[in-house]
This record gives sequence, structure tokens and C-alpha cells, in this order.
Amino acid sequence: MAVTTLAGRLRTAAWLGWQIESNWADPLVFAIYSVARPLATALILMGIYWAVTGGHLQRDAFLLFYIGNAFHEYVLRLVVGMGWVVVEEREEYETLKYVYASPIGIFTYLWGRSSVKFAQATLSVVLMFLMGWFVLGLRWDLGVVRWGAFLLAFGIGLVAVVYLGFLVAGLALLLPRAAMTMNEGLAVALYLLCGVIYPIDLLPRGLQELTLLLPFTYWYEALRRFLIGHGASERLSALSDGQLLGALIAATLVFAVASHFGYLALERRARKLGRLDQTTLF
Amino acid sequence: MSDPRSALAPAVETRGLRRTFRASRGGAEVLALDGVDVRIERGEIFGLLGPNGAGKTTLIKILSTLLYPTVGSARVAGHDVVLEAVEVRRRIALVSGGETSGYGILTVRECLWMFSQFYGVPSQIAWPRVDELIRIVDLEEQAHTRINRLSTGQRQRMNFARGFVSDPEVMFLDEPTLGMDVNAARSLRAYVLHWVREKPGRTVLLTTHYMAEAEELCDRVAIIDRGRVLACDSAPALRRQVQGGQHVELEIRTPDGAGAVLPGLGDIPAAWGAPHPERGTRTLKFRLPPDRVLLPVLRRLEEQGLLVEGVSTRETTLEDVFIAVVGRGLDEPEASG
Repeated sequence: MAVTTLAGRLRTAAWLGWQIESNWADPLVFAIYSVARPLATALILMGIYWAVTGGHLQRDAFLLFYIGNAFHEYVLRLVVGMGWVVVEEREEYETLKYVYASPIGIFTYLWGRSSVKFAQATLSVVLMFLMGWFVLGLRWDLGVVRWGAFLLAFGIGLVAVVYLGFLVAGLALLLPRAAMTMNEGLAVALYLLCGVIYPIDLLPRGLQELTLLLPFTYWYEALRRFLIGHGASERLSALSDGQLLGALIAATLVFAVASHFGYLALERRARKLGRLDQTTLF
Repeated sequence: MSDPRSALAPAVETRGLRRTFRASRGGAEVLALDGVDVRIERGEIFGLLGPNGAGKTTLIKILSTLLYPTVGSARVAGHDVVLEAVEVRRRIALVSGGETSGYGILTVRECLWMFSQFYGVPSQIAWPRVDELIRIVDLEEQAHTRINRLSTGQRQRMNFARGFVSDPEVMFLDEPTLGMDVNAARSLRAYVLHWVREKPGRTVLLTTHYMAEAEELCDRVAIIDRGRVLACDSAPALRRQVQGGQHVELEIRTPDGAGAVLPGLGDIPAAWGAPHPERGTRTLKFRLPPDRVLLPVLRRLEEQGLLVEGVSTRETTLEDVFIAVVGRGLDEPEASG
């Protein structure tokens, strides 16, 4: 397939995503919402941490907690969003079958649609960091930031997030009724298991072993380590930078391949059962 | 059509196609297609004529790669719909009538352009084609209107146009004029004819339960019922199969004005036509064999308490063929048991 055709299809899917995401309100309201939401999230995080620690804020622990939550925005937006794309297209717009019967390819389509979610998540993360830096006083020595390693880890982790999104989209194809709760349930599971809000060392040993199979655990750790100089987990601190990146790459690779074939298997099953154009919710 | 294998292959070919659906809550398995063999040549408008639930949409779904067959094979433009779905999708488009699908936030023009991009149509070709299709489906005034502000009929016409933006090799039209007003349906039928004849090799598979639509458009018609193709030929050839005798239409006053129970005419198969509630009558249609006369039939109806108010005879139509082949009318429910 010509690269220009692929690029055109990605661009069109992204354009559609933008239209759907941004057109529920007039531009001013949408802009206010886009800025207010992450700022409110930052304040809520502050409130939660304040309540949990009884008002005794430990700046470093809060910073780790804050960074984890900020980057979890990508999981929330992309994973939940990609599952929601399937539900919305099939049930509300009833267009999924036309997208499927066209040559765009569902992976291209979901990549394109998710690029808008990526942009929204990035805006949220940037705003949360600005809020943290200037309002909440969450500052650190920028000299410790290892930009190259950070960007590499960030990009690899995003691939894992997108492939998790594919898997969720496949499950949404097959389980239309469970799709909405399942999407958010998965994001919450990762939130609790992969070291977003507390180090994985606090989990029971068995669960720790499970989380070490997931790329997201290494992702959150690597983002913190390359951004502020250290991670949150004592267990993962034993890994050198190279080992941490290697573990992230290996886990992402395995996860991406498994998700890709998992999606195809789910899609085959959905096609067998006639679920691609089945409407059940709206 | 750069692929020579594809260019030489028939537009559609199915062999022993069978599809069953698992019934919910322990019910019996539903047989939607039962060994369908169909071959559609390039350049044909091929009609699938059958009542609701006959298997028409199931066949279209399989051919458009949305559903797997349970048994058998299907090829579109030479490509297997299961193993080469991507190749099939490059060559087809699908329009389902009676649907109001669409991204409500897009305008008509945006929606059509977007689908052209999914098919990889270059923008310099796509935009003029989009505008042309908008003109053809009579949506020029609504071109910049958001889809969620269109009426149901306008949405249906937009969906019809969507199918043609990619200029597919094989077009699947699943009841495309369902629920449309008469004028819109007529102009869309005219466009389908024009589109197929304009460029050699363009093919249409049309499902319908409008006899006149099948008769007007289709080079060949397959009559399908309960998942089986019962007859397949050109409309004149099908008509010839049931010619002889007289096609009789009786206007009958029925006790309840609806006439749900078909009166017995001995060995002559009959079917109800449309009711005329304003007159409290309904048309009964049947073919009287050449060796029979009408009077005993009328007496038989009288014995069953039915009053015949009018009698007419006419030429053989596809509906007569349908009744002769299937054993009941198109809009008539299947007899239970």
C-alpha cells in the first residue's frame, strides 16, 4: 500500500476523531473544559493525598504519586477511548460495519482515532505538570532529567498503551454489553497494580510477580526515574537504567504481539458470531 | 483492476454456502443460508428476491466480509471473503437501506469525503465525485448540513451516495430503497442502472422485496426463501416458467376486512395481495391452469363465506413467479407447522 494512502487514511481517521471529540460543545466551552479538567484533576489528587496523609505532605512521595497519575492519563484516554470507539461506532452511529467493510483496516482506523486521544492526554499531562510546578510547588532539579532515555521510555510505553487499547477494542467487539464497564475496569486495574499511586512493593508477592509481566509497571518506573532521578519501587531500583529499559522493551514487545493476535482472535470470533454490526445498547 | 486474477474472475461466486445462527436461550439453531450456489458475472445487476428472513442480508454480510459462513466458500472478484478479506474490501461497497446510520456531527459533504478517503480515493477525484453524488441524491441544499439535522429519508439518500464514493467494482445494495418516497426511489434506481452501464465491469448485487424494483433493474434474479435459492434466471425467462393459464386477481370482501387466513382453492396455490381497508376487501392472486375454469373456484370461495367483488386477469409478473416457486406471496407470513 502506498505510504501516501496510509497517511491519508490515518489523517482522515484522526480528523474524524477530532470532530467527534471537539464538537459536543462550542469551541470556547471546549477549550475551557480541556484546560479545566486536568487542573481540576491536579487539585483532586492534591486533596486525596492530603486526606490520606492527614495533612502531612511528603513532597517527594507526593511528586512520585503526582507523576504516576499524570501519565496514567494516557491509559485512561487511549485505552478507555479505543474501547469506546467500537461501542460508539457500532451502537450509536451504526457505522462500524461500513468502516469494517472498507479497506482502511481497523488497526489504521483505531490508530488514527486514538491520535486525538493522545493529543488530549498530552495536553492534560502538560497542564498538570505546569500546575504542579507553579501552583503546587512540585519542582525538582531539571538537570537530573535524562531526556533521551525519558523520550525513549515514553514512546515505548505508549506503544504498549495503544496495543492494550486494541485488545480492549477487540473485547468490546465481542462483549458489547460488558464493553463500557470493562474498559474502565481495566484502566482501574492498571492504576492499582502497576505502581501509579503506590510502589508495587506494597502489593502481595504474587501480585508483584504478575505486575512484572506487564510493560506498564516498567513504564511508570522508567518515566519517574528518567524525569526526577529515581523511581518509586525499591524492587525495581535494583535494575540498572539499561535493564529497566530492556525490561520495558521486552515486556512491550511480548504484550504488543499478544495483543495483536488477541485482537485478531477476538475479531474472528465476533465475525463468526455476527457481532460486527449488532446493536444492543442504544 | 490491476490484478489479472481478479479481473478475469466472476464478480461473485458462492459454493454450498451455509450459515446457521445459534439460538438464544436454548432455542433451535436458526438456518439462515442453506447451500447457496450463486455466480454473478461482471457487469451484471443481480437481484436477490425474497421475503424478510429469507437469508438475503446474511448473504450480503458474508460477501461484504462482516460475517463468516458456517460452511462453504464465497469469492468476490476472485478473492475469498474469509481468507482475503482485505482484497475483497478494496473492491466492494455496501449500502443498507432503511438505516439512518452516520456521524451526526459531520456534514453530508464531510461524511462522503471521509469515506472516499477510507478507500484511498485522491482528493482531486473525491471532491467532484462527492458533489456529483450529492446532486444525484438531491441533497444539494443539505450538503453543508450536519447529518443529525437530516430527515430519515435524507439520511438514507446520503447513505446511498456513500456507497458510490469509492466507485467500487462490486456494489452490494441491501434493500436500498426501503422506506424511501416514490420519487427518491425512482431516481436512485435510475442512477444504479446508469452507474452499471456507464463503465464495463461494474457489478451490483441488489437485495429487495420490491418485485417492480427487481423487474426494472436486474439482469438476473434469484428467488430465495428460507436460505435456499429456488430459482435463478432473467426475469423474462422466469416468467416463461410459469406462463400458461390465466393470472387471476379477485377482490374479495373478507369477514374481518384483513383476510389473514388464506382460503383453500384445492390444488391451486394462491396468495393474498395488499388489503384495501377503505373498501374492506383484499386481493387474492393465483394462476389458473389452462385446463381449469374459474367458476368452480368462485363457488368454492363462496362456500367459505367470501364474497368476490371483482375479477381481473393480467400478464405474468415476477410476483406470480415468486408465488409459483415459493408457494406463497412475498408479504405473506410462512404457514406454521
